[in-house]
Amino acid sequence: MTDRVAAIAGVAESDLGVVPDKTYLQMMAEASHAALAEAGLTFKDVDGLFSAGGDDYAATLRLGEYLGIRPDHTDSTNIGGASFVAHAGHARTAIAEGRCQVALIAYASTQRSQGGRTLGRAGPLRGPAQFEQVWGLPMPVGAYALAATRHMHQYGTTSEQLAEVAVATRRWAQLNPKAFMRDPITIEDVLNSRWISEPLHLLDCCLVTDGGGAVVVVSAERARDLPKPPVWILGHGESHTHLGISSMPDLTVTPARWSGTDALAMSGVRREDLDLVELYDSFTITVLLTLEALGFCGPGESGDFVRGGRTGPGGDFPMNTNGGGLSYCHPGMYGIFTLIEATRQLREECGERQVPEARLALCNGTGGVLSSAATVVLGVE
Amino acid sequence: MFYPRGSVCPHCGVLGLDWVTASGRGTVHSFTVVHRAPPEFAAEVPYVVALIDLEEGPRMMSRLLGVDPAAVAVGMPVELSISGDPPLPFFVLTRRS
Repeated sequence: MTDRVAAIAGVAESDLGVVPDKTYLQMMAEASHAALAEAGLTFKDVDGLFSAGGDDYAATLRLGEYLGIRPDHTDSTNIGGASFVAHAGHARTAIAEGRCQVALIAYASTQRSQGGRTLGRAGPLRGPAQFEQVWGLPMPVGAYALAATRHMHQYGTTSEQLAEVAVATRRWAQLNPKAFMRDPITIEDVLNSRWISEPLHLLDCCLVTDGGGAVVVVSAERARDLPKPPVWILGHGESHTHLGISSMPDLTVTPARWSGTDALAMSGVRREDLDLVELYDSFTITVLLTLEALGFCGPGESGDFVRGGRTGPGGDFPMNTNGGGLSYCHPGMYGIFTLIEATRQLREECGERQVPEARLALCNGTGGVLSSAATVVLGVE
Repeated sequence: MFYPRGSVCPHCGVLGLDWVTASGRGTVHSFTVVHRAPPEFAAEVPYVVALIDLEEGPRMMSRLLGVDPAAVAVGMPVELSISGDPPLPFFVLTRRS
């Protein structure tokens, strides 16, 4: 590793699952406090602030007020669930330019307790979305279903291959005490679960939970004497291609094709040298498309790629080792949890689910309806 | 040519645009059979939402009317069928001539 500019120094989750008695701000504060404590830092040390989501127009304004932070660098970039992976890259850039030394990235949502997932969007029809909303496509699942149908048509991908992703991910969740769904499932269970939006079944879909998390990124100087091993941000990339699914240029190619290429090129890491990957698994099809977009297999080959449980515990391609959005936790914008899990794996803190000798990891966030992607490559000494 | 309407062409960046009347013919680019619908559509399930490739090039979302969801396939020819109140651009399978 040649590039030691910025490192993840602390990570933490808030309460996860069903959290009816806390606001999302309280959950962000608790996760941030814990992540900073891991780095031996407090709110007073934070000079770079990153957040997205919540119910205010600018997430960092609300969070900065709540935590009493006046940052020298602020970033409320919201590109959907990929935002926090993008923030990690932005934090590295800001640190490289000397804009800040201690960057805090935080997110939380109480969408489960608030009943926030209604499959549709409330409010008046406006903008390009008015040409989609009138048809009753359940969002976001219907958009992903359209991509799945197209992938099946072009490449012969099957429901069984999609189910492999859900089954392997659940096996990881069984090893994670914090995971929301830990009962074993089979491919038949996935195929027999009720249709949501064909070809996606209930068990092809991520959970709806409450939860949040925080990630602290520090400069190389600050990283010298941390309580925990620094996890270096070696490369990052981001891109997006559309907002509405009707305008996606190719339903089978996500913008991870560009974010991943950039992140890998910047890091100098080869795909075959990665020890694990954490990919936003909003739906099983998201994972297949992301594997192809990131170049782990060719176009149309992802169904075969995941066969035989190879992405699960003991497999040769460890993926979504916390149990993912499918089985561990999914509070609306999951991306931050890819960073948290990869960091813990690279620090070898993961107990039963620890990937042996994990040194290099890739995280990929996907936002919107396969709209945006952000990728980072992480590594330890 | 592109859809939905905007004031700039996303392919070439040109601002001076004209309307083109589409033939109303297209093919199914992809589709989903909806079983869990947004609340206001819940009484209508199952129904077919599709992305249609228009003969002229642009892609648009619509719903296929009067079809057995199990009989729909990617590539099927479809044609415009405006109906409803307010009227909306639905599609139906093209009748064999």
